[in-house]
Amino acid sequence: MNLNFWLPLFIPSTSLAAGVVIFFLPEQMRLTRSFLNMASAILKIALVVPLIWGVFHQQEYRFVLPLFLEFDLVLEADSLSLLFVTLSSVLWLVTTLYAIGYLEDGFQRSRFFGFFSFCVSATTGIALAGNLFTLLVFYEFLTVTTYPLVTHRGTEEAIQAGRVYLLYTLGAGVVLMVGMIWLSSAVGVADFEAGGIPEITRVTTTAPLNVIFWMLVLGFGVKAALVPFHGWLPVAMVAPAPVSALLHAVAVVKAGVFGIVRVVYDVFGVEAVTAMGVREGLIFFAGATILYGSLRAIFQDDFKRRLAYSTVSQVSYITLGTAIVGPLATIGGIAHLVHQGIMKITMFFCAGNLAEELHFHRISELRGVGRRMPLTMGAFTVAAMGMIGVPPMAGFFSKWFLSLGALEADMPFIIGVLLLSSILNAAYFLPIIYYAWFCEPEHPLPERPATQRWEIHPYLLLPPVFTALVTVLLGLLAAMPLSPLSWARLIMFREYTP
Amino acid sequence: MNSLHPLTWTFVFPAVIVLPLLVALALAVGNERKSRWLLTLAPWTAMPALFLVLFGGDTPDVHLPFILLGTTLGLDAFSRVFLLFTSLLWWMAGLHALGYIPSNRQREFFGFFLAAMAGNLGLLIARDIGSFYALYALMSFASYGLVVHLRNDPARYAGNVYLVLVVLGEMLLFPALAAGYAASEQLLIADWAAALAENPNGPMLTILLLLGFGIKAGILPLHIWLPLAHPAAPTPASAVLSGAMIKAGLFGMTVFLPLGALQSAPIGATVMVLSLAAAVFGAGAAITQTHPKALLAYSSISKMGPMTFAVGAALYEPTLWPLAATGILIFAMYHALTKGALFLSVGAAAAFPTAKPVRTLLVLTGFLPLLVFAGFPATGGAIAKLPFKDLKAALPAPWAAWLNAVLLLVAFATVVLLFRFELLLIRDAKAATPHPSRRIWIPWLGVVLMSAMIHIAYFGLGWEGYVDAALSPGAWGAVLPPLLIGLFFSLAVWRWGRRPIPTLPPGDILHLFRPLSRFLTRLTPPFPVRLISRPTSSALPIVAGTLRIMQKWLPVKPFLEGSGQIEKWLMEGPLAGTLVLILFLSMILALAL
Repeated sequence: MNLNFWLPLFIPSTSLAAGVVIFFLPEQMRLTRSFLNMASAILKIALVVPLIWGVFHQQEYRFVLPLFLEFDLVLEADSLSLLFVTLSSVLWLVTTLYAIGYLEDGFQRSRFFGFFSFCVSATTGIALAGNLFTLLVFYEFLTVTTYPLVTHRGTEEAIQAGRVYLLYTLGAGVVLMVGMIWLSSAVGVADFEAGGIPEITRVTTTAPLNVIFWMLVLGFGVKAALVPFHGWLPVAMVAPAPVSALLHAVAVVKAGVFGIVRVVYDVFGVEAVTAMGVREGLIFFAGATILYGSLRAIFQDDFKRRLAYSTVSQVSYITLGTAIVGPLATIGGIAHLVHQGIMKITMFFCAGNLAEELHFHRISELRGVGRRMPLTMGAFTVAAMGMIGVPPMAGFFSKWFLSLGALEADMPFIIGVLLLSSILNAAYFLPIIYYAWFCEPEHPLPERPATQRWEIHPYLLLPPVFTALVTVLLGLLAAMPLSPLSWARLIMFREYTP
Repeated sequence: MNSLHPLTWTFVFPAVIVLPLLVALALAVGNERKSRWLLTLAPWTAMPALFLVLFGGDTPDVHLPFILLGTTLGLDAFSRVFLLFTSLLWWMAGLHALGYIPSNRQREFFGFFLAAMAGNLGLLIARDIGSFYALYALMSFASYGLVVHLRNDPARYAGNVYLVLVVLGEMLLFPALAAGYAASEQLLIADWAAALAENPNGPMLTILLLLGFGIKAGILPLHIWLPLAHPAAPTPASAVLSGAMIKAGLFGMTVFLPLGALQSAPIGATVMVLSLAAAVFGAGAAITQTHPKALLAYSSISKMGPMTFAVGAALYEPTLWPLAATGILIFAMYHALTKGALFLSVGAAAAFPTAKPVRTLLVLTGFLPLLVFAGFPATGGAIAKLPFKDLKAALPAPWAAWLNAVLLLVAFATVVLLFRFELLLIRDAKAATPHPSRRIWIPWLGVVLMSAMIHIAYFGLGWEGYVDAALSPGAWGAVLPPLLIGLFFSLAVWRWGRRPIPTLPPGDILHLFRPLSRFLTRLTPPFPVRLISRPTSSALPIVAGTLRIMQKWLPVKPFLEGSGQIEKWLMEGPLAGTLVLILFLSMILALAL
């Protein structure tokens, strides 16, 4: 019972505690609320830093709370969970700042920020979950806490979107729960383990395992927006920009794909997944999603909807990297977990800025906005280039390792999928850049108010500029130790060396 | 310069890339007033590269293990020549742009200009595939801003076509690089290329590389963007596009292909045939142009012919590579500087001072690049042809004769096209209002003199033999006949010709799509979003055309409507049912097993 035992619990707890306090704050205590928000986000990062050091040096951080039967609540920091925790806590800090700027003039702020904090708590819980049961507990918690965020605006459309969201995610939750219980009855309750749960390799009849695998993967696939379970994501676009940002980059979609990663690597393990013959199916799902999402994105004029379909496509890069089940593809997929998050959050910040400052929601309105909001559109340009896979932006390295992984697994057609997706990415991102920088506005754009020093409030400007900078740096310094790419390499190493 | 501390190079190599980028960034974020001195500084950011060329001939490579995939920068004898003419041309074009670009557009222009320059200079010193690919992409995407700088319809159209081909080029190079690396795990370009020779997929990767780099180098039929984009850009940008950046494609081919080790007769023969075709077609098409810069762009396609021919010859017969390499270097250097000088000549006369003796002198000097470009005896152009004579002698039977015929034909056609170019210049000069500007004509004069006195550089680089041979009177006889015939032919046509030459529209085969586009436009239901700007010019933007074709032949509309409906249906409730159904089915399945 030392710090190594409690630390994994502290990390989700910081934001949980902050959330509880924020709920009871009166609406007008704006400063206190903002302070609590930022302080808990910073405290969380402060707690994560020693963890990174410790996990790198093979220290064990493990919290266990026995619940009922053999089901324990286990929170454990391993290299994979730490990657996700770091991503979510850093992006959370940024998003909190952004949300303060975006929503502090709105209504029901205590409710919003309370759930906002709960949401990060759930995400870090998912990241640190040491077994499938714990993962599911936090996974459901995430569903429940994001619903009020999606419906925050309270409009007819928002409530409708919230209903769709709940239908999808709760339905998936049922499937997941049954899959988990079934798995437990088949092979017993076991913690995640690099290389797979040992009992699974001992099972001789793989048929029920196959079914369980698909139940789990498709159950997680709903949040990961695998086609045909992606429908909720574009609808959830009615949520305020910071919510969309976190839904797409950090929390919900990532939680789903993180679940898939856990199931493949740490429940079934690479050997079993290969032996069961399920990887071709998963590759098919991922590949189809990548292309379908991109194809749909091209035809969207609503900025956030286009971004949403792009997420559908891009998140499946991670699924694809996982599905190939090879060392290099693993690096690519896991690195993309971080890269996609950083790039996509930048884009949503930018979309939010355009909506907030100029009330532009459609791409066809964006002619000439580059001159009015250069830093916002500059950040967007960087992120879009990264999505297309242009070096030195981070996205290139995901694509690079995924391609190497495809060749390693002797599936060169996957490169074709990736290239086609890149071309489609170019086809729906480059026009935005073109409109913003190289066209004249059709109507004169609203001028910047004289009292305003920057193109938009600094709280809204700083986050996208910061994440765009990180997008460049992650790529530029990809080979540096402790870069997401190097960390993904570490994860791969621990996964594939028994 | 051995007295320099070794650490110096650790800074100079990255500075070649970082310095222009920093200035570009400062220009992008700075304001109009404060950026004056930055603009003055801008052309001089090519200096680290020039410094490297002059003093860094035999420096060890600089390793930056944390950057990108692990970066190595360095210089060898081959890339040194490329870096020399590339940096000279960017420097001079930058100085020229300071006078040429209106001051209210200079910040934007130099932002893209410097970024493209950083990419172009950087890719010449990049020795690993990661940094090369990144810098190549930087150059390609940044020069889009140069192509569309004028914001008029031709520029936007050219920009569209250019961008499509840039993305296509990236998509051709990426799998080649990845597949080569997956097989060999070699990050250094030299080792990567060496491994390619043993790779069973070598021929396929070779083709991908040739296509990917061929887009930049204007290999037929990937040249279509070139006569659109080079003239559409402002003159100093045209100069670097057509003089320097076009060579980046050539450079890519030469360093990534294991030339001298890889033999592939079919690929080599194809490249040679396409190159010869480009040489003839480019020169022929150039003659028909009515815009002086379009003429020069087609001439660039023509002049790239011999260089890509040398690549093809080395693929065909690897032992020819040393000879071919020399040919490429000498020719590339001559072409870059001379083509740069010719491009800057467009509009230069209007900037000459009005005082008589100086003006006359400058006008006369203006003929120098024409003589050099045509390859008159004792000029750089004549020297550049000599290695190809050697190459010709070493080539097997039909190729030698074909190369000979094509070179003679092109020599003749070049004189004709230059004659026409001069007439077009005079025509435009008469129409233009004079606005004397030292900042325009001095850099122009700089490039003109560089191209005229290229012998000095050839001496310094160890090609005295070729220079001597070209200067000897014996060589005159071989060079002169096609030139004189060309000159007399031009004079005769000019004097007695009646009908104007019909113009081949720039972009040539792109226009084959035109009737198709007109037909398809009629059936187009409107897209929710136009991918690119409205097709305003007479020709068809390639993306819009492709999309219309897609729309006609692929079930785009059913796809959109159908997928939208299915998604809607999924959202309206049956989803929960579907999921339960999946669950139920899997249970039954499991029980049955």
